[in-house]
Amino acid sequence: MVPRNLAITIVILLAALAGMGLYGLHLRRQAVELLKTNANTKPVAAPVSGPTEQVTVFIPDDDHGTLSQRTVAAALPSDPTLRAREVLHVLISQWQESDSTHPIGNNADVNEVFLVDNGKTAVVNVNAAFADEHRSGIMVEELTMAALAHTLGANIGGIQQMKLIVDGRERETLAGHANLMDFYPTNLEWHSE
Amino acid sequence: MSSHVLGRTFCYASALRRYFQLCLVAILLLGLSPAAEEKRLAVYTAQTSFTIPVSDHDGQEYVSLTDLVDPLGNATLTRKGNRWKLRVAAPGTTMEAEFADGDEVAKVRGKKMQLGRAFRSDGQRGYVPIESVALLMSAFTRQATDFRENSRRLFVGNVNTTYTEEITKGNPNKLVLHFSAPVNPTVSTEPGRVRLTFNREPVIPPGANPQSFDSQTIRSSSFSEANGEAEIAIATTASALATFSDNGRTITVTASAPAAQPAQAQSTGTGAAAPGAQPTQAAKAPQAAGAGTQVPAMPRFFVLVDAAHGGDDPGATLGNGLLEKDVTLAIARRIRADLEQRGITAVLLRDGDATLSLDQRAVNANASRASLYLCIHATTFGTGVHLYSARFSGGVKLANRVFLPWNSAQAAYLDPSRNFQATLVTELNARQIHSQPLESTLEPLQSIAKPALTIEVAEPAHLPADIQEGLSSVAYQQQISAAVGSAIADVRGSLEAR
Repeated sequence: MVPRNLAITIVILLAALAGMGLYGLHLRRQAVELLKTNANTKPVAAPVSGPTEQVTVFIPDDDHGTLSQRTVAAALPSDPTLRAREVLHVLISQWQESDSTHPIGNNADVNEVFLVDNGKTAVVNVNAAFADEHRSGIMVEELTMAALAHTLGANIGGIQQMKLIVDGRERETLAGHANLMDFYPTNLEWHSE
Repeated sequence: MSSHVLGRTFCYASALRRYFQLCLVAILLLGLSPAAEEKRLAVYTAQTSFTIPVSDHDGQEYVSLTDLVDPLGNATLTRKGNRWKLRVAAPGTTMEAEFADGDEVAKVRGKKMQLGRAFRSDGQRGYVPIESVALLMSAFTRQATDFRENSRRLFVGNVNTTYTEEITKGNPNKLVLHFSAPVNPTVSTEPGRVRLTFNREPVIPPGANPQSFDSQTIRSSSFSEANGEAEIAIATTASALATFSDNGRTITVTASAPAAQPAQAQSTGTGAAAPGAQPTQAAKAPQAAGAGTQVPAMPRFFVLVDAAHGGDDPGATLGNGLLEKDVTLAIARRIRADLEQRGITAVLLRDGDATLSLDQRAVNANASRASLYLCIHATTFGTGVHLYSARFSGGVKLANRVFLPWNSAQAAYLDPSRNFQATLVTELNARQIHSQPLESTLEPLQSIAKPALTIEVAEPAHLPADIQEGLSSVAYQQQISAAVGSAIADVRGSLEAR
């Protein structure tokens, strides 16, 4: 026969053990949520203050092979090169939306935009993730190039063509197909919606 | 007096003009004289193959010690006074060696070794005489070495790649080269010769060299090696094409004389190594083959089908582990089969898993006498078939051009290319396959000097009852091949008339 005081002690200890187990599970769930939040490295907003403007961006649809035009409000700097970079940031952030019709890697970004030849040519320097994480195929890659060129042409006056470089260097193709050694005109014809 | 002064002035002017002319000729000669080729040493090991520069010091050949051993592992070369200490840390082993400036004796793994000539340095790097590399590499790797000093090729361990040659007589004649390991040579063609240059492969000569063949179109092959490279030169009497198969272990050289060339074509032109030079090559063939002999001939009209990607370049991953390079090859083979049923010869640029660069594809395509070039891609994005003709945004001036610029050679063939594109759209639509005619600056399309099109096959827009798996479906691929075959048959007349 187990003494009464011992039985009470065992019951209390078992209850404490169950409570601690539940609390441990709760802490684990919290930690997972925290990690998920930290892993999202997508830029949340353009680092520019001031009045917002309407930015025209071109969103490709990979399934239908089309470009659709959209306007987005964003604060833009006045300097043309910074403005061009900011416009492309806005464009890429649209592609990085979860319901995007032209998804691109979360780490894809534009490092700099250089305007040369009296502002007629934009040299866009993207980071390695932009190319390395890009989906491979002629149409998806051509859509990216067309959308970048169209968006620059629509928002920065005077730009007639665009060249893409990756991490400051020329690269043969974007992801095995689109020819990065060539220039892409901003008035490139594409099926638009 | 005035006439005397005038005469002297004229004389000075004439001498001055002659002096400037001489200077101009000298400058032109200097500019045109080929630059001295950089000397190289090729090192072949089981793990890696590499070439390193060879430098001359007082007329003697030296190589950098760091260049020589760095690919073997993590090499560090430290200097203390005139003594140099080398440490190579490779997986599972560490090797140390000591050298001294001006000393012919080195200490490798604790043992003295004669270098043949003095070790020397330029303050930053240490150099060893080239004749010592076999001994040094043998001591570093503990493997037997074979140094071909005349050609500067060093074989470490048993790494030789051998090959056999076999003539397949038929229509056309073929020379099949079987290699003991995958190879990826640079292929260059010129009238009467195909050259396979091996920069990284330890290819050694066959038993008989040079080898003559009992063939009207492929006469002989010879192996040579020099300056860290090996080369197989195949002498042909007709335009030739090299294709890769068997994962890069087999190279097939197809040489075909034209079936019938207009008399005018036989007597025209001088050779020009330009993309548009194939008519000249074709015209030379009948003369070289010998009058009155029956030469197995490739038809005048044939199609070159290029399955994109291959070898080290898998292309896109198309789901379920399916690789673009495999799908493109399957579709290319189906197009060939369909064309052959229609009595049209088709040649695949790669008929196996071989690595070919974009430039290599363009070189091979331009060297061939193919009437049409098709490049096949595959994708899971979009639907139907995307048909790309070349796009030249900057505008290309073609008038009075003898040579075509490499990156815009296709500009001269845009009309027939777009005519074929439109015909193929019609054929695909007739089979209820969605198609999109598009333009692009894709390579090698831009550099192809003949009517050409890039075809990207995507998933079917709506799956017919007999097509279950989409892109990898045999029925779907056959429908597309039939449309391509039919479109080629439609435009054949206009292409032959060019």
